[in-house]
Formats: sequence, structure tokens, C-alpha cells
Amino acid sequence: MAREGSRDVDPRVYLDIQIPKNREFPGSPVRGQFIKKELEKSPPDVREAARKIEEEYTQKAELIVREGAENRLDLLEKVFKRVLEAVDLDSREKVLAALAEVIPFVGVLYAVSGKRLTFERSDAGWPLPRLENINWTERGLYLISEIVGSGHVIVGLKRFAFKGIASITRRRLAQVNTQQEEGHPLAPGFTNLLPTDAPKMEVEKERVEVEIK
Amino acid sequence: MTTLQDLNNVLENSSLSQEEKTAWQNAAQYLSGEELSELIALIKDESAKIAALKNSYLDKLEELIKQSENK
Repeated sequence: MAREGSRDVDPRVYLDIQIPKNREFPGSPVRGQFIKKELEKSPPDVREAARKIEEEYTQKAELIVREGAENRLDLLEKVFKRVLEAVDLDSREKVLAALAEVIPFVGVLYAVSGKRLTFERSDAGWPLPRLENINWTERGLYLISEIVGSGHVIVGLKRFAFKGIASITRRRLAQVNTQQEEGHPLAPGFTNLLPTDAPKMEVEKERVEVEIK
Repeated sequence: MTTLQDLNNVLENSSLSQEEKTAWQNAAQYLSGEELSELIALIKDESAKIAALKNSYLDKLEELIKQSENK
């Protein structure tokens, strides 16, 4: 039953079954099953020798698996670094500079001064601060980021804007009412600021005129 | 051009754990074409090495059985 040239062993010769089409592991399951059956029939010394071969194989397989896992981790690290490069956070110094920009209004300071704080690694490995010139586009981006990035500022702007609109509206309405009381026609452009009871005011005016007649 | 389907095919035939296969399938959409090709090459390389080792192991066992039968 044994054959010459074990590398060319075709399990179909022994078991008359199909080899799996998967060529990544050519015929291993079938071949393995056959060998296992043969070993079960073998004397103990052969089985012991087979166990040692299996141990050796397992150790080598573990090394390959470990090496493969390390290679994939290296690839993952490369991907992660690419993402960090895209957001300009690929070094400790850049992260430090970004942390400084979290402080409120630092972006405004950068936008106004045209300089930003960056860090360089010294020979001793310490981060050394230095000021870097930024162009107009970057100044604009810092300013926009500061406004968009700070909820406090947005809330402040909203309150300011609402207070301003409310104040203007109240002032103009007061002006309209005064003009009406004095019998002056509405000033152009003020009609949109009339309160919802404006038609009622017109009716009252008509009633007064009728009484006079 | 390397596609996600290529990766799925390679993963299907690989010796990676199911958990890792799923993780790479999810992560693949964030990989560039070059990185995807590199990943596929790595997995193929590992599969080929494992297959070669397995064949070598089976060869040894067969040789052992043959020697035993000849005794």
C-alpha cells in the first residue's frame, strides 16, 4: 500500500474519494485522515515518533501564525499612521500643539497674530515650543474653527443676536405706535414690523373719525 | 484592481480565526487599494506557508509509516 515519492501521493488511490478543489491546502484533510488511520494501526514506537513530528510541526506552525499576525499588525499600524497623518496628529509634538488649541480663543489669537504654537523635539527628546507663521487661509480656518468648535461662543453669539433683534424690534414698534398716536402715516419700511393687532388699530381709527362726523 | 471580494475569497481559504476574518472584512473599507493588496498578499503568504508545512508534516508521517511497514 505504501508508495514511492510521498509528495505526489494521491489520496484517491487509497480511499477513492475526491480531493477538495481548494488548492491552498492541497488534499490535506483527506490525506491526513488516511495517515491518521494508518497510524492507529501502527505499533506504539511509530505512534510516539509521529507524536514528536506533530509537536515539531505545531511549533513551526505557531511561528508562522505569529509572524503572520505581526505582519498584519504592522499593516494596521501603517493604516492608523496614515489616518493620523491626514489629521496632522502623527507625532507627540503635533498632539501637544493640538491640545494647546483646545484652550478657548487660542484659535482667535492665532488668526489675529498670524502665528501658531508648534513643538519640535529637542536632542534630549523634550518638546521645544516655537512660533510658526501661518498664511491667510490658515488664519481664516482657525477663526472659523474657533467659532464652530466652541459651543460657548455660538451660544453667546446667538444670545447677542437675539437680544439685538429683540431690541431693534421693540424700538421700531414703539416708534410706529408713537407715529400712529400722533396721526402720522407709517414710515416706509415699518409696515412689516406691525404687530398682529394692526388691522384692529385701523378699525379703531375709523370709528373715531365717524364719531367726529 | 484589488477588491473586497478578492479579500473575502482569500480570507475564506485562510487559517485566520473567524473573529479576525470578520474584523478584517469590516476594516477593509478603510484601507487604500495598496494596503488591501498588501493585506491579501500577507494572508496568501501565510496560507501558503501553512499549507507547505502541513504537506511536509504529512510527508514525514507517510515516510514513518512506510518505514514501519518495511520493517
